Amino acid sequence: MAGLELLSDQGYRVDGRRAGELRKIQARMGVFAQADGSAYIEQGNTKALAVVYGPHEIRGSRSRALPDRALVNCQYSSATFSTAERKRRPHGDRKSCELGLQLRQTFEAAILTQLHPRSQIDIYVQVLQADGGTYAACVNAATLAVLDAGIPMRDFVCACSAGFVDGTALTDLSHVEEASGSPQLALALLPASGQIALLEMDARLHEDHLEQVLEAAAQAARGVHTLLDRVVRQHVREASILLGD
Amino acid sequence: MAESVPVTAESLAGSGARAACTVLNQVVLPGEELLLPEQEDADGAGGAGERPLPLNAGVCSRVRVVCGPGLRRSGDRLLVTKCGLLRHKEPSSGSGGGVYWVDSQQKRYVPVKGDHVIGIVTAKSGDIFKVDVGGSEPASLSYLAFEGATKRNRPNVQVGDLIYGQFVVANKDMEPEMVCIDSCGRANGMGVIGQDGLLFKVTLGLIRKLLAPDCEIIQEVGKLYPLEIVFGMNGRIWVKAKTIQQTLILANILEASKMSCSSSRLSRSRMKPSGVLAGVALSCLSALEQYSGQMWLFRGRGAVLQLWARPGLQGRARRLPAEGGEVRGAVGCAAGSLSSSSVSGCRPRKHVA
Repeated sequence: MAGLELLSDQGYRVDGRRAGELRKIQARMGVFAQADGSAYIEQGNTKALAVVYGPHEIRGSRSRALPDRALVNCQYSSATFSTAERKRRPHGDRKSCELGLQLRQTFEAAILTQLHPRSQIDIYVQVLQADGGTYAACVNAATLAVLDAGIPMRDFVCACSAGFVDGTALTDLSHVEEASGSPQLALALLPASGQIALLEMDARLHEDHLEQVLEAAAQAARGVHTLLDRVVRQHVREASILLGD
Repeated sequence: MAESVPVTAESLAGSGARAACTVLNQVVLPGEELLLPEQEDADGAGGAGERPLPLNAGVCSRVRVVCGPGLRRSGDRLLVTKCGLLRHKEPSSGSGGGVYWVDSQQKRYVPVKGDHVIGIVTAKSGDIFKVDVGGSEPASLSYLAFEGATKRNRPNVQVGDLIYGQFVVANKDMEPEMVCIDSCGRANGMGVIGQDGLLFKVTLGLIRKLLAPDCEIIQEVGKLYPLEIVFGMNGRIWVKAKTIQQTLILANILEASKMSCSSSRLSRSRMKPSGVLAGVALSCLSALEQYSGQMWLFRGRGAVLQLWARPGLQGRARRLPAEGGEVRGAVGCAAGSLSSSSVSGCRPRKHVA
């Protein structure tokens, strides 16, 4: 793609954002009445839906039950219409399995699993429209869904992707920026303590730049936390008003 | 479309713990830390008034505070683990700092000792019944835990029966156990729930609201017609009335009561029906759409609501001329939807089959 520069001389990206700016985030909790917890998030053009069931009985073999904590089971699925070209397999392919494992690792760090031994918590995430940053959108949606279900958590989990172009760290990459081949990483953060739940990168990045990119991603994740915080407060207030508090 | 993200101070949980008493009845989120009251006194300046000199200087005397659902102890602070409103209850006996808990909305039940729940018998194995209470494990119920049950006189409990009982053992490490007798050996309303009736599920917060001592909905509903209601703290309600239609109306009223408006809010709407029940009944009107051509009378606090469902009739309310001093409010509903401009917070709902 000749002529497509990810960062212009004046510092604007392809969609007009600055280097450290996030896309517009809109989120809603409690979208499904049947599930224990559910949430929907839109980050720019990326749309993700998360549904949580639990803590309930272990499904399948009882031998998988852990005696001292709950089993967190995550499944990532992207709809066949989510990408520019129709996807053949919505779930079960390598990328979906890997993302499911990453989500599981992320949420095992945040959910207080020792409060529900020998039970299972299911988190199902579906991407309805993928425009970059799908892992981050899934983590953010799943956080809201787990909060909606009332499962005890240590803290929010907020995620953001970051890349490195022309000596500058860009945050919240869109699909165009992800497909360009520049190094990118995904970071999931617990904002209150600043602890990292998951950091994932499979590109080559010089270690001198790592700290800069990491700091940019952490700052963006804290920005996401601000927004999600507002969404949750609004939802709780509405729910308590409806119950006639 | 792009949005700059200034990090505001009010949402940063890491900016420091707040005192628990300053956030009472406000929204708290996971990750926040709360300080307990007596720590402020110790940290604050040794101010006005005389304070007895502590014998072991440097250690402040702590008042015992009970940590309820949604809060965990982390060091000497309280860590919030669920999102909701922070509540506090003063101690009744005078000693201790009371109870703090987070009032959160939940659908999934976690067994708690002493809770009365409705369970469904799923299996009979030897001397115990396995009862599904909606938690992460089925509870066990011994056949001897019924009033008047002995080894020779077994209770008549079949798979699929509804049981109303309470938990005697309910912690995270063990399988929950329930019984249908109280500590004196009397049934006290517990046991097998009778035939017929309808079991449905609501959120846990709604059950707590309906079981509050000053709940008007239950009092109003009790004046409608003879009925039986059993509330289980696991979110299950069992209702029974004389006919199936009455039972279904009752179920719809209870389900819709999670969106009930107080009388003061109703008076702002143009319909002005009186009574809490009126508002609740209006919000479940679309559930009656299949009973076209029939009429039910609801009495609530002096006003009588006449409800009917007829397809094609637009949702509106009008007062019929009073007969014998009775005020009647009449509301009709179109098949499928209630005009949302009239009553706030009401949505069309499907009836429970």
